Amino acid sequence: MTGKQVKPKEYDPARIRMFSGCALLLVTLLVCFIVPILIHADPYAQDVANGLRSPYAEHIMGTDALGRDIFARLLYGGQTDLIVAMVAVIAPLILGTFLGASGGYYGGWLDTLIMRIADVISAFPFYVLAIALVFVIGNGMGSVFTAIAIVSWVPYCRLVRAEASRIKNLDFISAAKMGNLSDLRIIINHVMPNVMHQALTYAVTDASANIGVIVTLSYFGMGLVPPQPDWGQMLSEGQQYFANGDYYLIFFPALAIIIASFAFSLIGEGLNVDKETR
Amino acid sequence: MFQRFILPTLKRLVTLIPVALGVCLLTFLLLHVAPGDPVRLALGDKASAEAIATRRHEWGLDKPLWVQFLDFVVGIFHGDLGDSITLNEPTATAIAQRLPPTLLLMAGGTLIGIVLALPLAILSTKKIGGFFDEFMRVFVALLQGIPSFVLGTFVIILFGLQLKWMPVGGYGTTLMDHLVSIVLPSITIGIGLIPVLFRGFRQAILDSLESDSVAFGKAKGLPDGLLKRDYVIRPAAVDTVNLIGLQLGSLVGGVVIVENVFAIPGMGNLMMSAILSRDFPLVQGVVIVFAALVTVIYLLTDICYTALDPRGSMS
Repeated sequence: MTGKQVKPKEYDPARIRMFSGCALLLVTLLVCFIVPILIHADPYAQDVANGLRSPYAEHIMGTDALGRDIFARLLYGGQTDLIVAMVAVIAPLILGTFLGASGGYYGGWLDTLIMRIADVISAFPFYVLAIALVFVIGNGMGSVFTAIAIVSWVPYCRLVRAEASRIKNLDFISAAKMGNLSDLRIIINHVMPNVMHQALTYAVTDASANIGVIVTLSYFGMGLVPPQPDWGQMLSEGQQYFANGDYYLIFFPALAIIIASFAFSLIGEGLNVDKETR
Repeated sequence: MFQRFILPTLKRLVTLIPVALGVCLLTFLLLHVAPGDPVRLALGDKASAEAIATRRHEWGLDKPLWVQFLDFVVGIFHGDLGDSITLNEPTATAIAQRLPPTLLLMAGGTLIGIVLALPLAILSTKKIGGFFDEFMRVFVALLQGIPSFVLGTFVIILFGLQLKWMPVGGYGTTLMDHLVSIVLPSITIGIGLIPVLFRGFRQAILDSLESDSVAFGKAKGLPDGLLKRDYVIRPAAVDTVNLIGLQLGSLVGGVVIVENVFAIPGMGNLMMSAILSRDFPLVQGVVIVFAALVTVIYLLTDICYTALDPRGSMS
């Protein structure tokens, strides 16, 4: 490095970003899971006479067209969205890491085949394929998981494959081969643990992207469907009324979405700092 | 010329063949395993078994699956994507009408994205690790988490409903109308692109700051402004073309969402309405065309990159 040297600091901004991300996520999770129990919130209780009221003492975020409490729906919606976003990371992480590790380890035709399949998947714009998949499989939480798994394993696979083909000739792999371990066992027990770190880092950013996918799908009436409360669907319901200036209906769900994905991408930003030079 | 451009381009095209076939196969299978019989959907519940059988035969649905797939692929190469069930016209015609708004939107969005992200990146690299740089990294992380439909809603509220500068949806009929009505959607897409573009620009500038040529230019005693312009920003621009190309690919997906938020009658809008009416051939056609669009963009990016960077060669 010949240019300007980075000023040494007693605190590391990347760490601060990561910890504030973690804290924000923790608070969001706690609020979504603990508060409903404390206040006995009911996201389904209708009270049409008090429908579409802007925030007041009894309903601090107002009520929707059916008189349901927006705060309660926000909290329950958060439970669904956050859990789905985090769980949906697991399948593509495992699938992508396994395929990437196998491709990198074996090389040859298997590697070519896996990478061609990856090319095919990435030829589709992300949302186009995700929407088409949910359309084909049908609505529901399961189809959101499946669609995300099919669409998002590719980056994991690419990250891991590069690492795996680098380490496959190292001594400890040769030792494992000499020990007459099966290829599958070598890949799972010896290759994968050593190439996982980048994939795990990426998984945090991916969770943030997943929130986007889930709420976008439900905004268009796909994926998670009523009566299950969900942020995207709350936003699309609220949009019918904002011409009259009733912004509170969309303001709170939008804020919730932004806070939740900000938490994940802050953590990702903090973890990513030394991986910047690709 | 032949060695540098034509040969690598041809090679690249050859490697695209299996990918193109894979795209066709995936799209084909996707909609053939989908629940719901398109024939029943087209003819309604009360259709006689005979009418259904006739229509099945007409559409070739009684042939073995692999023959249907071959027909499908051959059709694509003849520009025939089948007939839409709901629109009473060939899918290809419907898509061709909806393509221009989508392309316009992509161009506008990319332009605004670059105009916003480049100055921010230059400012932020003035002092690496300085206050503005740190602020931008957090800001970019925040922006990255905002789904484009939320961003679009904010843009509609701010510019359309509060400031009343622009129409909030629709596409109009004249060219002027079109241009005015894509301003807000383009702003939405542009803002959405800031995180990736900013990070890319910043990294590219950092890389070229560290290069030997900058040290050399400094040693020559070049004035700071000239050094920045010719030795830092210009080489960084080359890397950036590559980045923009790759982003355009993923940008296509965001366009789908934004078109629907602003009711722009483009391909994304067509896809959503096809999905709502369960118009299988139309969905299939739109998905294929989207994939083709992305592939062409990647290919053009590769070609531009080779043309701009004398060291680069396509792989």
